[in-house]
Amino acid sequence: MQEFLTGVLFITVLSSISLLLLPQEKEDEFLPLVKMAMGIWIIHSITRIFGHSLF
Amino acid sequence: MIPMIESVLGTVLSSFIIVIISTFMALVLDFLFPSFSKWTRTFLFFIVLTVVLFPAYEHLQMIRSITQTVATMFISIYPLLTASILASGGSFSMLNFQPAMLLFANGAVILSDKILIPLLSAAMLFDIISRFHPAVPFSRMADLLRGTLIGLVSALVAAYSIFITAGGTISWALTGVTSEPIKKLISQNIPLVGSFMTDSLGAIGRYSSGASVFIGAWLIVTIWSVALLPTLKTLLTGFLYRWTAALIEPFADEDVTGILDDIGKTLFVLCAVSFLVAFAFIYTALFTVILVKLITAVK
Repeated sequence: MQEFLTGVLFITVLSSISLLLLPQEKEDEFLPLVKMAMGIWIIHSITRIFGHSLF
Repeated sequence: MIPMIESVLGTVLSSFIIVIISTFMALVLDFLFPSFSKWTRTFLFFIVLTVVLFPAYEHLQMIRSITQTVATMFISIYPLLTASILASGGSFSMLNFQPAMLLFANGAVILSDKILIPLLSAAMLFDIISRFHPAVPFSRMADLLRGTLIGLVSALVAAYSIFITAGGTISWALTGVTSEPIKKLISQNIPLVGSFMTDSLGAIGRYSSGASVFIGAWLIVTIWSVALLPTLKTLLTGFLYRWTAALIEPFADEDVTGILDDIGKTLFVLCAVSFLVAFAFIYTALFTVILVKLITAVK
């Protein structure tokens, strides 16, 4: 639980800071990457509950 | 009562004044430097979070420490109570003592310490994340966590009240016809936890009415106010969050008011959790007092 929350917080803070630093036109390309990272983290956390692992 | 309100206002109001002033400053900065607005929003967010999260976190910590204290009290008193009830026999049958209640109350305390409070802080974190980074929202998760908690807590209180009424204790005045409008008023006007509050108050009242024959009304009032003080404090703070959100809504960002509202909602749920702990506390305190009275009376 704690690890999952830490990961979510980490991805959010990192992606929001990089969104601030990136120029306006690059933002649309970057957002799907953030969503993908969050998706991978959530799926990884769910599979780990059942004893499997993505990585 | 008055010093408690003063202390709550003193700690919470000063941080909310900082929030109001900083949102206004951000508004001015946005007007002066429009190209800087993204950075202004981020800085404002961090200022608001650091100022506003502290009182909420303090309340979480307070309820947690109270829960731990009550749990220790239970574990130390339980053997003594059971033994003396076995020894005294008939005198306790009048009070309708149910050992299962102690088990229930203890279970509730452990539940709130190990599950409810961590889930509540997770809900708070999800709220903040979905406001701070709207592209990756977690708002459904936060709502679901809060809803689950409310469901769990109200189911527990329902179980309590079934246990109490099944024993056939004398009904207390709060359940009577005269107090029905007041209960309606409370349950409709306090968001989320209002109806739960009136229900659990009724349950506590039904229980302590049986004991008031032994203890006397003033001592019961004292136990009640000691047990319900943290709950009232949390409720007041939750309302202060919502008032601040309402005050700054016309000139602040949607995100900032939203986050204040969400933290207020989470504090209301925390208030419900603390009700559970208060119930456990009242139960033990009443029985300890009765025990001491009986021991002194027999002498």
